[in-house]
Amino acid sequence: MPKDYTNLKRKITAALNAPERGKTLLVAVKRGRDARRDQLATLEDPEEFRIGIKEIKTASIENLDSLIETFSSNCEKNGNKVFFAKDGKAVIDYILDLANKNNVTLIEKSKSLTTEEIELNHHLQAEKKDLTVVETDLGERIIQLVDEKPYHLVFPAIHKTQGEVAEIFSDVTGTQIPDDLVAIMDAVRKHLRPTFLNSQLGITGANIAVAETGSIIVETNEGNARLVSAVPDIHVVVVGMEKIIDTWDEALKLVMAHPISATGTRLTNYVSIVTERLPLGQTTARELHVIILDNGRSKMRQDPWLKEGLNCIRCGACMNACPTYGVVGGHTFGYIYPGPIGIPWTEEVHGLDKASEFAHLCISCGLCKEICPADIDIPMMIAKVKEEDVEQNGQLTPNKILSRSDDFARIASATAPLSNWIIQSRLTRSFMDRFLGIEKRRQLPRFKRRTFEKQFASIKKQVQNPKGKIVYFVDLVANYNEPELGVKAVNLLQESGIEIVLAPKLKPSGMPYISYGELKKAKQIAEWNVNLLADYVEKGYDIVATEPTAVYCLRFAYPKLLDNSKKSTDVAGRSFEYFEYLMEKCEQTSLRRANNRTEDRGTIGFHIPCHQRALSSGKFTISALENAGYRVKVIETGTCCGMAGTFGLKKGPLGYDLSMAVGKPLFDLFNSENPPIKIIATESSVCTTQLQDGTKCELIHPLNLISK
Amino acid sequence: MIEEMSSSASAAVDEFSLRFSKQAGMIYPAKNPDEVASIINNLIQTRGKGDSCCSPDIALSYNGSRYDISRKVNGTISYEKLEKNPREVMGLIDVGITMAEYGIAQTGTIVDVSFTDEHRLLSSLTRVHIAILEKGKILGKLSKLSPIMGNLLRPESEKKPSITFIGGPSRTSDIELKSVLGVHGPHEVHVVLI
Repeated sequence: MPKDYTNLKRKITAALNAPERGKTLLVAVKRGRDARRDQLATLEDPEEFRIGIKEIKTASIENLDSLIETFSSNCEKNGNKVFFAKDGKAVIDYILDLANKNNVTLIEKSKSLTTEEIELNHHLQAEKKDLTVVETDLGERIIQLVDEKPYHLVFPAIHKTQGEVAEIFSDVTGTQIPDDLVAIMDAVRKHLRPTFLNSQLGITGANIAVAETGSIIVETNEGNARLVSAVPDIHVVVVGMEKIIDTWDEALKLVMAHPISATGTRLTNYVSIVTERLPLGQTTARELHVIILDNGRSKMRQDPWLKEGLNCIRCGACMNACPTYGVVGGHTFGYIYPGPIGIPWTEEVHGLDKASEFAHLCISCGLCKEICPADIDIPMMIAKVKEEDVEQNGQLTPNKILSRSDDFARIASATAPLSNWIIQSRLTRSFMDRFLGIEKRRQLPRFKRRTFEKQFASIKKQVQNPKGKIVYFVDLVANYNEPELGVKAVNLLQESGIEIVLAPKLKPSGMPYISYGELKKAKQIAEWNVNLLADYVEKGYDIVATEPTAVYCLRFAYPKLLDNSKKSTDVAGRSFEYFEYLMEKCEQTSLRRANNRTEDRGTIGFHIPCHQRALSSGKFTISALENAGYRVKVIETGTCCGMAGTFGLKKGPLGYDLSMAVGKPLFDLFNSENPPIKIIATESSVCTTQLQDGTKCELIHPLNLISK
Repeated sequence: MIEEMSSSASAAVDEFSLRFSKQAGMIYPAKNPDEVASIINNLIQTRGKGDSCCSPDIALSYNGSRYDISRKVNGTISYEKLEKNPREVMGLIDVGITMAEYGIAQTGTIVDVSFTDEHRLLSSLTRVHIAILEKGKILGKLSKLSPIMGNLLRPESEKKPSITFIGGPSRTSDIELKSVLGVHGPHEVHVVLI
């Protein structure tokens, strides 16, 4: 009996039923995305900035053993004590020992996810009853007082309203604090001041550790880490081993990378660099202990896919981009580490059982990879976690069915129109809803008996002196549901002097297998398709697809699944979106000539599918539409429409309900346009379904608009 | 060449001032050391609500002479008193005055270099922080600090300071993402530029 994720579904439903909290969260993540985008735009070369971060982190993880040695040696030369902790227990024992030897009863902390990871506060106070541990970061203090886990990596208490915070501090201080931000700040300052002045031991994390000088860098906007590291006579730093880098050159780049990605600012307000313990007044016997934590990181480093997770700079940007996180928040989408990157991290440091509680909230849109400043392939790492979960706990019925939609489509097409009548009947839909987990309110596509592949021989033309040669990668929709779309695609290319062939026995992209954690099957498909297509590439053919997800697979997923084999990278390098090929490669196409239509064909809305963002963000399609006389208005929330392949076809909270909640802000944007948008153009078949269900607009494929 | 350098230095000052101001820091240009002291004393009077303390040995070179600013600033608590009993005295100080070692134009940041923790507290525990920054110490990009950091903190050095990049008043957006100043550290950061 496969696991049914009852607890996860219950939490999703609860989140969907708390619209006010959901609104706050959506505003928060959107502001995070917008601020980051605006700040990146001020940089000379944002892409170079991103590549730089990836290079620094990748090299550091490769050389980690020697970096740890250099860092430790320099840190000890600075008079500090360095301790290497293999797990959380070793950290806890070390700090308890320090606290006992020095009669410590009050510890203050600045924000540290690494100490959250090992639940340090809980264990310290449980083991030493006379010890009080006080978080001093405002967000962390709030959640500590209400005994909750972080809701967001950067803003741990973002789910609490101002009024709730005022009540929390009224309770703890015994004074009525009004629902006023300045009053709350004054109260917090007074509440924490004795802690700052009287703590005997201060604990900070470290954003970066610099091997070159054995220094620690702690970044805070509130400035609390400066106090935590300055007043107490004992300062303990708990640093994850992956934070160690080589040089100051690298450190200063990362110091900028954190705030740009996290809050959209150029530098964190207070960047504290601590190298050795300084005297405070007459007291010179002060100690600095640096604890380097492993806790699963060495194991992670051995895994060719998961080791990329060690490149994470903990900026939280992936959370701000993740469509489902933006609806359900970190208490549903997380254990201690929340959001997309929280899935592989949780699996590695807290175990599969904890990670599988929220791994399936990932809908494989790929936006987390797009926004990640270190370009971490988070979606594929998550797919690997899902795979482990599926192997251990079994696959859900709708996932099994939807992964095999090509088999279903073949049969439905062969038996159309009877199949359409059966599929669309209320009885069948109720059966599918109840027993197969396919949502009955969702539109399902109709199937055509005469598939595109059957029609191809009749439309194929012999092109004399072709300007280019392509293999048309026919996706499911273009073959079984909308063969006329494939016909138009082929005709337009042939008119532009392109020779077109189909690769017999080519399989659909296999994306659902990745989404649902069946990586072995995804790999088989990748291998099969790449082997077939590589022969064509060798003969000078390019590969063109009308479905963005197919190009996404060819260009990114297949090389990853096939360990960047030469064939897979060759195929990736020659794979194009349809309009990319048409506008960039076809010199003869009428669409390339700018302003060739004097007729104003009106304004249309344009939706960029998630997988297309990783390709061209639709710029070639937009250009083709504009050249055809349309005024194109891109309308977007900056995240997914919610359909996410077949995710939105599934029944219930882990499917349709969440899918529509994710899509709502986008639906609202389209529906509230003034003057109204009547037509939306998008190239993704599944986004088309979602927007048809959620907006009042007519959905038309760009190819159909152009050939109108 | 000299003109070129001077125009780029002036651009760095402008960029620093713009960015620091955007981050809610306050900038006060001063023409000479006397004006620096006067601005600071005025700020202590107008912005301070309690005692003030100035970092020792703040000296400015001007027209070939050295000016000891620390002596001209009217701090109500001497630095020696703070050194003797930092935990008790620190809680009383409302305004801290320090010298910034560098400024970074790219990020609108001042760089504090401290060899004792009581000195660090002058810019972190006080409600008002006033820093003096020489225009000639403003670097263009953050990366220019790299060799300086490597040198200041090299393991062979006898004493290694704590260094802080300060981009304005203490701030938080932890409650409903509303930005508010002065949660733990300074509510106000004033930079007197000379």
